[in-house]
Parts: sequence; structure tokens; C-alpha cells
Amino acid sequence: MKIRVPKSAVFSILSVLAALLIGAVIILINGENPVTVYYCMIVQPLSSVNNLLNVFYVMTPLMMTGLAFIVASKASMINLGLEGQLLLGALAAAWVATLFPALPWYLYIPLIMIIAMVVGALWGLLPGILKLRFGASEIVTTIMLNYVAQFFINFIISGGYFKHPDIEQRTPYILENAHMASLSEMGTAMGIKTFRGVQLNAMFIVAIICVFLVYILLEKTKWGYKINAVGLNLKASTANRMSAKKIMLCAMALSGAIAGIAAMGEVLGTFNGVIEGFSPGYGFSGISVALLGRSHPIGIILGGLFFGIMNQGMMYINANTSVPKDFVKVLQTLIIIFIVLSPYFESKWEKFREKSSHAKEAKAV
Amino acid sequence: MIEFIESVGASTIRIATIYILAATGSNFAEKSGILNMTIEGNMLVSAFFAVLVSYHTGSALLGVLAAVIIGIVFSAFYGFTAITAKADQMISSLAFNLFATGITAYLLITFFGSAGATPRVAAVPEVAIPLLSEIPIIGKILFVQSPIVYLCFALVAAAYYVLYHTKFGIRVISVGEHPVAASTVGINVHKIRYMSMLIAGAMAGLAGAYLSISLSSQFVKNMTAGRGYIALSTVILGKHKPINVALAGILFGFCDALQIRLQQSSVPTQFIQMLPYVVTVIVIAFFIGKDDNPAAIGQAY
Repeated sequence: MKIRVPKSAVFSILSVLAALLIGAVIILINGENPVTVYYCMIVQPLSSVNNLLNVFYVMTPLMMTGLAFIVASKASMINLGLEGQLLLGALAAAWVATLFPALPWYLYIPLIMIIAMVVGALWGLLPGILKLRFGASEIVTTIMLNYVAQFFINFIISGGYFKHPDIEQRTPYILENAHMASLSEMGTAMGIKTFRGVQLNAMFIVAIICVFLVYILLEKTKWGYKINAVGLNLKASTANRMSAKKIMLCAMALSGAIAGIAAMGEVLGTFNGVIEGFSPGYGFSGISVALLGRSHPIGIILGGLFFGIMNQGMMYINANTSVPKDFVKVLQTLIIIFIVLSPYFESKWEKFREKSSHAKEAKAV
Repeated sequence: MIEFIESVGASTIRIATIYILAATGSNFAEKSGILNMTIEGNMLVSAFFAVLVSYHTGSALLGVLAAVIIGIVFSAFYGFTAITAKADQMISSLAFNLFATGITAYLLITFFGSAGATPRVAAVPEVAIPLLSEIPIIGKILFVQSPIVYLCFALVAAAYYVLYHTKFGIRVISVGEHPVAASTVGINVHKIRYMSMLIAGAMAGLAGAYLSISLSSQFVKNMTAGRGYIALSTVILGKHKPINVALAGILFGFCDALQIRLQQSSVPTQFIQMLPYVVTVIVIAFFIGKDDNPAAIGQAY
């Protein structure tokens, strides 16, 4: 799939500004001051090192789901099922993380991640197979499978099959040797108070590594070349149909696998298990991050950072104003709408400039 | 047994009306070559405004009217994005839907001070049609319903007539199949697509109002819960033919009705709630075969 993105960064920035402007009107409906809200949203998260570290924590799952979306879309598969793949990967991880108390963490955590990736990959493969074998549009099936995954998790947890004995709507606590310590916890263990309240854990580094691995895979390897070829030239590659199908399935599986471990920092770190409804829509936010990052693996880091700042800023908005936390979601979708609209305004602007330069020439003559 | 058939039958029709209204309208947009995934968001926003207006005026009728207007406005914005700006229709649909989720949650808190649901408001009452409602079984199933349900029957018939027996309908189809050819014989492609999109918006708005102030009498956060996507599947399953689309809507309505009925049994609720979504996936995969989308669907002109 080719998504049209603005050619110049100027129009990317203008898209953001236009969204902020409409966002200001939406804030005014609520009777608050847009300046205060935007200050909370953008400046506060960057106002100290610890706040910035928490932004890194918040952006981690968004980078992962954004990356997962790119991998599938390069092979012209629209994976809207990231949310379901993420949730089932999280549930599988939470389960495996209660099983082996004797395993050392350096073996256990990778094992958990591999299983979460396999589960995510299988859930991603399903709509891929349904599309290639039966012609079922993955756009519909992936969204439906999100709901199935969501209800399945509620069924498992609330149905009592895998539930914390005392606390409602969550799975049992994971074992200590499966836990990913946050900077705050590490600091406390070492007697340092500097990082108090910082939730950032090693998953951030895993995500950055994933971004670079995918970048290398897509840009520097033969396999990545094949994915791009399938995506760019689906119809022409019918001569080699079987291999094109295989590549599309592999891309869906890889996409699902990445989504499967997207929330490990939350599951193995902050929550020590799965809480019903713990994901505020990481899957769909990832798609926005991918668009903002211009469908480029490295752009993911910048897109993720921007959304991470906004998501973290939501906390300060909540603490200081009466603006509902859904505001940030509204703003993020507005940005995406303006980004997809901006090639249109860009071409209008170019035509306008051409016209005016012609007019000048005519005058000069 | 008869009582069981009557109650499941009536709730099948009751729920199917959501899918049929939204899908029948959306079919126009799709026929004209626009990939319309915005039903979900459109229904959600108009469901909210139906309740907001009904709450402040005390009139369910004004609520329905407001929802239809909001539906048209929403689809006009999407129409601009898809038709004039030629933006990627899948991505912008998704963005419009996510915007709808966010803005309704935001306005719910702003206007009602609640994060979950609005208070109950004036709703459209059910009307039993004299004589017809006394026919055994069928009467209870078909003729003791909301007026919007009756309107829905009429709109399906109208859609069939307009699409196949009017100049406008034939233009819609030709624009969706081959916009270049349509344009060379003097059809204004953009105009036809805008009109189709606005029809889709009006009917999605009506479906939204039906959901919030006819089936229910309040707005609940995220109350569409994927029904817009099921309506999209309804169009695909009905192969873009109005009568078949209506039948497909009844099938999906039946799944939902059964699901609600089964919730009273001993099977765990969450498991049953999956049913409509699982059925949609199965139907899309195994009962449709090769899709018969209009040739130019999703392509800007």
C-alpha cells in the first residue's frame, strides 16, 4: 500500500499546527484555556529528566505497534489487528510468566517474549490466510478479530480460568524472575533516589533494537527487497504468485510477532500481569505513529516520541485542568486527518505559486 | 416455543435495522466507488447528538433529525477527504472513526459530566400497526416495532428503486465501475460521488439515532462496539445489491439476537459476546468467495 505523505516537512508541521488550532476550539468548548492545556501537554513532559524517561516508557508500545504496522503494509497488507495481537501476546506472556520459578531471568524473559511473539504471529497469520486462501478482506477480519481477542481475554480472566485470587479483573502476579525492573525499582535496590517514579524498563531498549533490526531487514536484505517488491507491484508479480503469497504471509506473521511483544514493558514491568482493558488502544495509536513517521522505521522513533509526549502530557492535563483525557486522542486523530489531507493542500499551493510566477513573468514582458 | 420464536424474531428485526439502515446507505457510497469504512464513527457521533438534542428539547423526533444532519455533515467531511483531496480512503476512514470515539467520549464528559453514559432521554416509542400486528407470529415480529424500523423497510425498497430504475442510480453504478468512461459521457463524477456519500451519511445518522434513542434511550460510551464494521460486512455479504444487503443484515441481526438470548443461559457471557464478531469473520471468509466490489472502489478520480 502506498500512503501519500506530504513531500516537505513544512506540511507535516502545518498539519500538526492545524490540528492544534482545532484542538484549541475543542478545549474552549470545555471552558478551559488552550494555552494552559497545551503547556501541560507539551512542556510538562519534557520539564525534567525523569519526566522525559517516562515519555520513553510511554512511547515504547507505540513504537512497537507502529513498526508492526509498517512491516505488514510494506507487503501491502493492512494489519488493523495489532490490538488483538498485542492483547493475546500479553495474555500468553502473563501465563508463561507464572510457570517456571527456577529459571534464571536471562533465560526466562527471552522465553516469554518468544512465546508472546509466536502467539501474536499466529493471530496475525489468521487474517493473512483468510485473505490469501478465501479472499476475505483483512480490513474487516482484523478488526473483528480484535473484538474476539478482547472478549476472549475477559472470558479467561473474569471466567475464572486465569484470575488473581483476590483482585478482580486481572491475572495472577507474575513470578519475580520474570519481572522487568523499572529504573525506579533499580534505583531503590541500589539506594539511589534519583529515579524515583520512573517506570521506564528494558523494554524500551528492546523496542529501539527492533526498530533498527526491521530497518536493516527492510532496507538492506534480500528478503526486505522482496517485501517491497510485493508491496509496490502486486499485480505485476502475479507471474510469481506463490512466492508473493508466501512473502505476504511472512510479513503478517512478523507484524503479529512484533505486536505480540509490544506491551511486554507493561505486562512484565508495571502491571506484573494482564489487567482487563489495560491497553488504551496501543494498536490503533501505532498506526497513527507509523503514518506520522512516514512509514519509515526510523520515523517511528520520532512519531513515537511525539505521541509519547502527548500521552504523558495527558496526565498533567488531567491533574491541572478539567479537560477530559480523551482530548489527546481527539488531537492525535486530527493530526492524522490533516496529514492525509496535506498532499492536497500541498499541490494546491504549488499550483498557486506556479500561477503567480507566470503572472509575474507576464508583467515583466 | 411460539413465544421463543416471536421474541427472537422480533429482536432479530430490531437489531438488524441498525445494520440494514447503515449498510443500505453505505451501499450507495460503495457503488459510486468510495470505500466507506466510516459507518462506525458516523453512527457513534450521530447517536451521541441524537441523545444530546433529545435531552435538551425533550423531543425524540428532533433528536433523530439532529442525528441525520450530523450524519450528513460527518460524511461531507469524509467525502471531501476521499473525493476532493483524494486521500487514502482506508487510513482516513480509520482516522475519522478514531476521531469519533475520542470526541464522543470528550463531549460525554463535557456535556453530561459522565465518563460512561448519559441519563435516560425521550426515546422513539414502539408503535403496533393495527390489524397487521394481530397476524399470528409475523405480527409480533414485524409490526410491533419502532417507526424507524418501518421507515427502514421503506428505505430498502426505495434504495432498490433508485439504484436500478433511475438515472441517478445508473450514474452511481457507472461512476463506481468506470469513472473515466462516465466522465467522457458528461457525468460529473465528483458530484455523483458526493451525493452518494451524503446519502450514506444520512442513513448512518439515522442508524445512529436508532441505536441510541430507539433501541435504547441513552448514549453509552463507545456504544457502536464494532457494529459499523459489521454493517460494512453486511454490504459485502449482500454483494452490493439492496435486497441482498437487507437479508444479510437480518442474518447479522439474528446472530446478535441469539447472542443476547444466550446471555441468559449458563454459557459465560464474554464467550457469547464474541459470537457476532466470529460469525462475521466466518461469513466473510467462507460464504462470500471472490468479492464483487465495484471496479473503481477506493480509487480517487
